[in-house]
Amino acid sequence: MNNPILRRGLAWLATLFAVHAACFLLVRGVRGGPFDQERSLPPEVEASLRQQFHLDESLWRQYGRSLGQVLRGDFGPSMRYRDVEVGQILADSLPVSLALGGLALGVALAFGISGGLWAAFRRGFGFSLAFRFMTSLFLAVPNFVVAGVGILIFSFILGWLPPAGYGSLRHWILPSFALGLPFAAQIGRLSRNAALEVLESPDFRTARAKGLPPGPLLFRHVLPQVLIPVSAFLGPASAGLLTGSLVIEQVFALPGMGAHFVQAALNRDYTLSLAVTLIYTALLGACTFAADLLAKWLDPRVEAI
Amino acid sequence: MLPDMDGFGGNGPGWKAYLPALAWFAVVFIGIPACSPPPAELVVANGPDVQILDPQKATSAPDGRVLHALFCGLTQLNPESLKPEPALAEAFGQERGGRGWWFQLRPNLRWSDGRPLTGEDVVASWRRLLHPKTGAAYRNWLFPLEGLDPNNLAQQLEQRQDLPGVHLDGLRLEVRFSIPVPAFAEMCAYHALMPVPPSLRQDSPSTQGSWPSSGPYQLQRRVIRDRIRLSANPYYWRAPKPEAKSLDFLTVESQFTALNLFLAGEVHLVATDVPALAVPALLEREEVLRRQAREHGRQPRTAEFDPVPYWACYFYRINVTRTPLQDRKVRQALNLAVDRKALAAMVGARRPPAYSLVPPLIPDYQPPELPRRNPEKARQLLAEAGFPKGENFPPIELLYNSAEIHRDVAESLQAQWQEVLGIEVRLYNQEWKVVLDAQNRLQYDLSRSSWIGDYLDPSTFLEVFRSDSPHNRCGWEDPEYDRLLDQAQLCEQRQPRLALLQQAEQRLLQYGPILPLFYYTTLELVSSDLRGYVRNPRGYVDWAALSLAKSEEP
Repeated sequence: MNNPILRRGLAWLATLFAVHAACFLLVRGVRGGPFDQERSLPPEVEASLRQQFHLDESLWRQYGRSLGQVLRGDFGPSMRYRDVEVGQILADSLPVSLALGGLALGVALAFGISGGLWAAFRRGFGFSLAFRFMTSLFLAVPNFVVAGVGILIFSFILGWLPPAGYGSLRHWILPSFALGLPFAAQIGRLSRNAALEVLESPDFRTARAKGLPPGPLLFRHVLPQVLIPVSAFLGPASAGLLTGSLVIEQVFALPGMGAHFVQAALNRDYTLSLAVTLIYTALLGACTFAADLLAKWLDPRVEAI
Repeated sequence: MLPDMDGFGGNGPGWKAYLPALAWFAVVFIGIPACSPPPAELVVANGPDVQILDPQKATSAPDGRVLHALFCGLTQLNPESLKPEPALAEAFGQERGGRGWWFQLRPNLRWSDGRPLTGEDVVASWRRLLHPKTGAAYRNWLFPLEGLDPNNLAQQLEQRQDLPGVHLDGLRLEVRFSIPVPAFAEMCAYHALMPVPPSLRQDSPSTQGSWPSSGPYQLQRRVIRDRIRLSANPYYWRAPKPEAKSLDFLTVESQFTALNLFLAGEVHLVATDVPALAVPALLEREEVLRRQAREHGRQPRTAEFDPVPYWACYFYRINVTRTPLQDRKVRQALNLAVDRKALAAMVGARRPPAYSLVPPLIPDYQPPELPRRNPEKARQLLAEAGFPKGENFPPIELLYNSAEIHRDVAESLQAQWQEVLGIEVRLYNQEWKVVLDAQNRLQYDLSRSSWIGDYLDPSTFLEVFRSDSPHNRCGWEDPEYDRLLDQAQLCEQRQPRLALLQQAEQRLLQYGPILPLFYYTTLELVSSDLRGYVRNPRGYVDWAALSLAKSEEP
């Protein structure tokens, strides 16, 4: 048990197990069932469906069955999309969410770090004020407002980008900026502070005094120091990106997993909501773990894993 | 405090610090799938996600739209008159006052994979529809078949290969019912009775579009929550074939997103409602566009937004098993206190106030009407029920599903009842499934509801409140009402039948458990480039007739 990675992995598995049990119970505890609709199904039809999905069994047997399904990695058919397997739905939607999260993280890192460095190097009053204003704005405004304003400007006033949908790279630009900019603001502040510290450090002054050109100065001395706090922020950021994508996917009608996360529970789609919740839990654990490993790798002084 | 640089080999982590970032960008930009299908020729925003692509299992409107583009019935509706017309059957007719129907199938019909579509497919499909294992909501449509015992269907179907009451002779299909089914030709145009291909009829049908279809389009690809891509069916019987070679049904949950897509020209048809907030602006925009066209002497353009009456009613259910609502006088008082005109004006979008359950859209059926608003009479009735000026009236709960329009309606009624009757109504909003559950268990006082008719006949609304109907959900049981419906069911002549239904509706409104509030209108958005789209009360679309105008004029 001394291996930190093993310890972390076991804790992660225990979390998944607990989340599975909680999710299994909670979604069944809410009133209303998967087959309720305005046009009620005839009773004998509903009975046959309940049998088909094993909802007529005792809760314990259902739990055992569900656990077995999860262990096999086969979640069975969805209860809302009765002719589609949950695995198929995940295979269709997970890559979309990952791509959106990845792009948004890209936007956050690119704009955050370059903006932060720029603000650290140009310490004039005007620049500083502009930087603070922009970062406060994007931190304060929720992402769906950023999305709405983005759609208004870039789709309707300028007509450059489609307001929603999925298909080409153009469709990804607005959603990834809407999701990424609040994190860019956070990263911008972190990197500005870190860069300011470096600029005042003796080794930076020495390097500058011995005539190192700006390029190596930036890439060797400043950036590595900036990346340390930024990488520590990646864990919370990935959690934020995952949850933020629920809203952004809805606004831009992207077929990602976020909408399933909300809708499956509303639809009482027991199998799908369980699977999506578990995937989110696993992703969250994996992302924070990866971020911690990265932080440790960049700065061996970091102990907590 | 200066950063401690020990452990960095003097220069920090150096180049390796950039590796993760590089890897990240590589993964994202190479990993973003180049799987970008080019947009379809015709794009429809279809609202919430399609649940089941199976004509016999589907029940929701978005599913129905896609299924009508994919499959074809023995008949189809004329989008203007909504009367049944020949489709897979080249001729059809009724005998014995609607107790018998015959259909003459077209010769050489084919599924979209080229295999022949025959009368056997129709019989086998109906057998599947009836089998309890299929889980079809509309199976009771075939229960009146002559010689069929609805209580023992599984056994009956497994014992024989054919279907009682259905006789197939080559291309001629004869159907016999034990009661008149005057709407059967119209029902055959609905997806539930459309023949389904053999691969869907198997015990564990192949999913995800490996089956052929019979309508103007065939399924190419379905991505849950994204889109359903259809391509033209080369074997479609009708000529000319649809002009658009591909058709996309997009899943767009948010009404605002659908509106944005339409305004940006990304979709040609928004099949679901537009956001209530946008309705006044859209009506105004329509007026401006129309005026401009007139001033420039151009042809009148297809209206983009033009709400027309829809075959659906918005009403409140009253739980008649609870005191004091079990008292008919209380229910009448609640009705007489409602100002429906003001309510209809508030919900807008040309929705007319409803004084009956059946929308007045059938020329020879005049629905009976509830008495109009009369605060005096309302107070008097409430006093007669033992609550003068609302004294001692226990607070009642009004349950509705979370949506802006439902909240507005509920708040308005709450205020009206408080003002006129002096009674307290508490509002509860819950998500949809919880509302349904409460209705099913009769755990509510008042609850919001709506009903969309399946075919153009009053019975599609009135059957809902039969004593044993699973849709009743009000605890209302009235043998006289059931008797009137039974009698109407046995009636072979149209006029006497409609008269009986009218009596039944009169009884429902007078004694019954509902407060009709307004009728819906269709709120679809249609691009002015789209040709062949007809607005009608059923929201029925003839997908084969749609085409896009070539964009010559700006």
